[in-house]
Amino acid sequence: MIKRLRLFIAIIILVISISLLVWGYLPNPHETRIQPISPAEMQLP
Amino acid sequence: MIHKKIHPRQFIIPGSALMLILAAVACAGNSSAPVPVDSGAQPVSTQPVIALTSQPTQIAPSPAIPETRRLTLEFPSKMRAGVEGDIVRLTLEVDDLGNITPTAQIEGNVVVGETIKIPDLYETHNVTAEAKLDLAGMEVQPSEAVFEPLARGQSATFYWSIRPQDVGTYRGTVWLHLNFRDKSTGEDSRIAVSAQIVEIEAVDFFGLSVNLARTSGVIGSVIGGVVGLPFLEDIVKFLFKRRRQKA
Repeated sequence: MIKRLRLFIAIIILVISISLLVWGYLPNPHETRIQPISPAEMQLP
Repeated sequence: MIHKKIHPRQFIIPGSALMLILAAVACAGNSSAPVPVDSGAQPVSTQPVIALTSQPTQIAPSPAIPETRRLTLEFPSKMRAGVEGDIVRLTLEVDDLGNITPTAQIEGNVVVGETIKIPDLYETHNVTAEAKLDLAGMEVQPSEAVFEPLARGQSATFYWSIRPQDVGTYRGTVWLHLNFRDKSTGEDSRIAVSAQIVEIEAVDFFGLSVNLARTSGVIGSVIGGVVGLPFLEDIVKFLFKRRRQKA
């Protein structure tokens, strides 16, 4: 019984810890916007 | 032979009638012609206006950068608050696929417009790209405007390091201006090319900061490993037993 409880606690601790590590080191989601600029938009004022 | 004396009164009625007719003719002739109201004003006539509009207008194109460019903005839409930092990148690169020849398609017939010879700005001006990231409430490096010379066929890339201290949504603007300096006169001019609004969300892990989450993750993994270590032998035996059964 104690053996099973200990195993359960170990699994819980590991799951939480790995979740924290994954969240902590996961790269941030990036957004990319592409805007074409024609020569007419780069004229002298 | 009877001689009647002609009295001058006899000429009054025909003379008056003749004058009236002449006056009427004269008035009719004047009514068709434009009557200038003021002698100082220019006579108004529609004829010259029609002649002007019918002629093709030829406006000399102002100097421009003879390249179609592509502006790429890359930024983190969501990031961790606290000590975690990230990069915002803005690239102004030459678009090789850009087609500046005007083309139209009318009822299946493709009409290709005449390519207009635009004076090259690179030959007459020094062009500098100026970029700035305005992001209220967030630590931005560099916080001032960044300048990079722009040459023909070359890209300009700008980087900013951003770091949100607190959880929340941060909004800002990425500005791109082009500065022109006349090579002969030294005259400066500036145009705004792009102003893009960015929105970055800073989050935490149920109230835990990044550093605390990472430290807790490492410590928890060690503790979990130690607690579960006595069962490692059982797990290995269990796995080997299944493998033997399959074989």
